[in-house]
Amino acid sequence: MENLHLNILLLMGIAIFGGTLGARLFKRIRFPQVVGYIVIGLIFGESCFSLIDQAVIDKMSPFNFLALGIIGFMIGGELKIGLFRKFGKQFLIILFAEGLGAFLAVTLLVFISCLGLNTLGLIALDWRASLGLALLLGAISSATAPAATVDVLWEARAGGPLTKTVMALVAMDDGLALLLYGLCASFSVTLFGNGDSSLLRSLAVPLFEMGGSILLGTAFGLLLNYMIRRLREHDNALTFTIGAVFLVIGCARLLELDPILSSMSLGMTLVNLAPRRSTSAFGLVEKFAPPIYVLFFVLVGARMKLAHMELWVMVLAVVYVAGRTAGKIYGSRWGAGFAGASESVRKYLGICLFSQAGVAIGLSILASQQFTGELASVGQTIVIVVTASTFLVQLLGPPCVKMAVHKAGEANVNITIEDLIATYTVADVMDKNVVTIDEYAPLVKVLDTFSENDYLCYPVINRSGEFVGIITFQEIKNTLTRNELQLLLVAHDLMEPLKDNAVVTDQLQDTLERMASIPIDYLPVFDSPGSRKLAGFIDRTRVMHAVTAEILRRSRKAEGFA
Amino acid sequence: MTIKDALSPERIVFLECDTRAGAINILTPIIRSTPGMPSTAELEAAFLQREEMMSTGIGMGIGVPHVRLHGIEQLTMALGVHKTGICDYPSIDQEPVRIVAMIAAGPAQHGDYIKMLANVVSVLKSESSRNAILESDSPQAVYEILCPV
Repeated sequence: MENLHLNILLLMGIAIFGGTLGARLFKRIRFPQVVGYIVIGLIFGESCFSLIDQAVIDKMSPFNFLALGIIGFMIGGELKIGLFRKFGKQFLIILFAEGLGAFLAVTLLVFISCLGLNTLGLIALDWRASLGLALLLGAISSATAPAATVDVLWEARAGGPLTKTVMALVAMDDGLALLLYGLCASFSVTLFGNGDSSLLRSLAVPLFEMGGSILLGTAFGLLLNYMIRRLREHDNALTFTIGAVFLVIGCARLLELDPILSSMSLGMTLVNLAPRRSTSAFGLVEKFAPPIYVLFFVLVGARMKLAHMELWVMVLAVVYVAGRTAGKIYGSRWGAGFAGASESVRKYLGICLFSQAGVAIGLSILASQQFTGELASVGQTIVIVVTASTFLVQLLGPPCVKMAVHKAGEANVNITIEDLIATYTVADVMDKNVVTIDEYAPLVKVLDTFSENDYLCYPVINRSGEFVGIITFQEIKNTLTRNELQLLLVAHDLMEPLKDNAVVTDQLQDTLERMASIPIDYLPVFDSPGSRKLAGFIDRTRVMHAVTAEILRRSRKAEGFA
Repeated sequence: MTIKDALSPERIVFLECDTRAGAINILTPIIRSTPGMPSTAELEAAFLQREEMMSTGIGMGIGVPHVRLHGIEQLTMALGVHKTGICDYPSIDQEPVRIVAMIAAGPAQHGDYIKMLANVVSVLKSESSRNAILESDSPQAVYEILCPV
């Protein structure tokens, strides 16, 4: 097993392969893929088989930062200045409402619980330490993890007011959490009587971290924009973009800045400076990223430890999750109502903000380092509670996001023509009110049918109502100048025999591929295999028109804010 | 495509039958003699089915039975001349059909098929051509009227 642990590439392969397999299984039971990755991580991790232990996780930490950087970059790509110009005020109001909602609810509930647990003798924290612990956990609870949340939004192909608001909030939440933590850490130190940390200093550190991250990302965004403007080849665009993400993350780590916020700034700068030219860069990164995400979430699962959980930890974790959930739900509902956001945002935003990971864990580790000596129990308690609650919300959060976007009607709106075609059967797009031509109809009647309708081809049916052939404009155009044929020809003489057909239940994608291979632009649709009864008719041009119209409708819905 | 490409003197006959079905029955084996044709029975059934849909008697004593059928490789024409006329061949002007131009084509020959039908009708619409054909006493003579050198 030791040799296996040393073989990082083999473990990465197992993690990516196993994670993808797990995601497929969870997708079958309608769970977001991300839950599958995390559960596979749990199985591989120290909670089960210990295939991926702490040493392996440490070795793979650069991949975590890369994944977070790419997620940050992609979120930044969604944050166009126009969106903030139009809805910036709304986003800020909701951000403070949901962030402070979680902060207040967690602080209050944890404080009361700590007093209760102390009375029961399960923990040994006086009221000062309890209040300090509650404030710090409250501050940490305001953060929302973008990775799992955004992964579900992408998987659901979501788009619309709720999706845009979630994207914007997860991008800004970390900043608020850092500020709140700075304030609470300073207050707690004063409360504990150590007095070695001023309020100004506590605020300066997170402000430096935020400002520095934004500056770093913006600077590299300007550089990347400059490079992309001078590129003609897509391959180089991917190389430069990935290179820029690596550089930003590396520099952020070096300067102790926030890698997510930095890469978000990078993406945001690029999308706003070169909205059109950057589309391909974002598209390339999106295609490149899935294995990195899989590995990231499998490691998230592997990092979780189910064992060694004492009763008081469970109580505090449950209280923390309950307070955070209530605070996020009611805070965002109140904020969205106050800011005049749409109904879907008011109703479903709160349940999209449950995920918690990197920043929360990072702040809890910071707390354990800040509070040592006599206060070591506070720092350790924060780490344990945040880790345990992260385990809960990382499993519960993604299904909630999925449910919210589906309920808000925002799932499957941000899709491509290929995605949409893959979801359709022939029955969804066929022309049901088919104009047909009787096999016995004389040429004059055939020409009348062409002139009275705007189709370019018509199915021909026999006296039993069964399909016998097709007449296209190509077939009749030669007859138009031949008056002598008017008395001689009937539809039967002009029709083309059947080359292929579709059945109502056929997948549209397969049918279109078959049509392309013949090649043919139209097909009769029968009600069942072996039948010749015409249930409809599909014409490639009309199908593409209908699909494009649906994409346009969904894209308008995705862009539309109430 | 011209009439010359589809017709030969060997495929011109003088008819002595009394019915449309009889004329088709005589002309079908002649058409069938061209290589790459379906069976006589299949061809004849197709001509008769087509006649059931709408008679190909277009008036002026002309009948143009025609089909487009799988298995036909080459557009082919046969011609029957009936000196007195076939009375049971339904025609727009109720006149007995004296000249029967039978045409068979494959599914891939749609353009040529339409052109051939138009050419045949166009030539036979000329009263002088029709009279010359009816006065002819040999297939070669009829052929030379339809396909002048």
